[in-house]
Amino acid sequence: MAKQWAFYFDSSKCSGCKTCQIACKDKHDLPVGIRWRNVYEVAGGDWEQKDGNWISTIRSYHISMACNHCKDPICMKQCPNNAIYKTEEGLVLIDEDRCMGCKYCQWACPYGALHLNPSTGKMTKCTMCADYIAEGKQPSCVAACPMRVLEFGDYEELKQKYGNESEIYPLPSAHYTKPSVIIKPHQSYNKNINWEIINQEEVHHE
Amino acid sequence: MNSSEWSLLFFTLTGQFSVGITLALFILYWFNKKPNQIKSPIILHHGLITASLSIIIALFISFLHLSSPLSSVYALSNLKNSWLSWEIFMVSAYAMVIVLVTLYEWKVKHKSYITPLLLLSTLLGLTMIYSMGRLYMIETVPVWNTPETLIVFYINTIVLGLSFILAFYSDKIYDTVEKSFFIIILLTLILKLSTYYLNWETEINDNIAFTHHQIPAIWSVLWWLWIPGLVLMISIYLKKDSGIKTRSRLYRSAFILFVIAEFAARVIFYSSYYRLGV
Repeated sequence: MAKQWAFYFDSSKCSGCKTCQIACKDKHDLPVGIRWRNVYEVAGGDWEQKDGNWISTIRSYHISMACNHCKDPICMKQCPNNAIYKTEEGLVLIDEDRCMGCKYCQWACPYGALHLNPSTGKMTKCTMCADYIAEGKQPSCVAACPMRVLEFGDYEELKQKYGNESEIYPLPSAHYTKPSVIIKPHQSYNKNINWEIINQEEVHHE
Repeated sequence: MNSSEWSLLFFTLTGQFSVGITLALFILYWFNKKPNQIKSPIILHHGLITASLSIIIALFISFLHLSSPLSSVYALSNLKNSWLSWEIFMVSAYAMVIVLVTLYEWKVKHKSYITPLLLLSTLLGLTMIYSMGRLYMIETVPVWNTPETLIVFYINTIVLGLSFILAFYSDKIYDTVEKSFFIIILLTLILKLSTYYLNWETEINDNIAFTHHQIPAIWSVLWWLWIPGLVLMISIYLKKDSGIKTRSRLYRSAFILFVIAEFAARVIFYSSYYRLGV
């Protein structure tokens, strides 16, 4: 089976410090407004009356999310220019010379991974720090995380180690693109809670 | 609605207008089996020039949407998977053929091949509209991934094209043709009303972090302007004894109302975008 690099994210230990986000911006010298990795602050729950007392069920957790270098990338399928391609190691990359900046890939990606760089007119996205990987180093986000909640490695190995959860809120069903990501949900995660992203203004993107 | 989508809006509207005119011209010549039965060949001449100019303008506008237009030379690389590749291919093919047909009509004296050429242009145009609609039907964008997207694109094409011919050339076509155009527009608009009441959007059992932006109410009001447009057309049909000038004026008013309504419909369409996930 061909190699497929993947991320593992442990939501149960993430403090939401956003060091991963900053490390990524710094490594790739991304302009203002473009973040290849975003940290979503998710909260839900309410106050419930029980035995005459009001009890809070409010919970929260964080999701650190970049491109998931999907096995079946919808961005690659939609791109009219074949500017998005998959390497032998499973990385989804953009050939900037071929990209015409139509943003069609951005419309389709359910992980908000593609961003237009207005100064170059080209789409950009997480490369999983392919240059670092080639040197045997970790991607900058993984290396920078002070809580050690990000890990990267071969998808099958990570799956054996941590399972295959990848659909917790706010992420979509995995069947659309088969993302190469495994997430350990926060202990408070429950599908039936009215979760919402509470830092929408910060992380909202096209 | 994002600023870059205005160019897409004008591109789709102008492209559909062009195909609509071609379709109207084909119907016109198809009804008149022999070219010399056409009441006035000026409709063909003006119609083809308008259709050609519209698609050329549409092509130009489409480049405004691109951040790196020079890289569009690769745009046909993914015909296997990408509907956008198909749209670009079909727009180019249609534009080339309609311009050639316009030159043929302009330069050739005996236009014996005009009906088959109009048929070819219409088929290419309708295929172009199909690819145009399909590219919005993305699996992860549930609000667009419905048959309504395709249906409204065809409705727009038919209504704009046929009502344009009625607005500016109603005095130059036979009553039977005028009547058939009216019936086609009427049926198309009934279909438009049905799409409003049929809730195509399937139940979404998936995570959605960001819903669409708030759509200003004015666009929802303007969307309904096709109703007074339709009323105007029905009134023309009922008042058969009204003068040519009055009929033309009413047809033009109806056409303007249809254009505004379709413009508003497109603003609502682009503003309604949201996708699954984040």
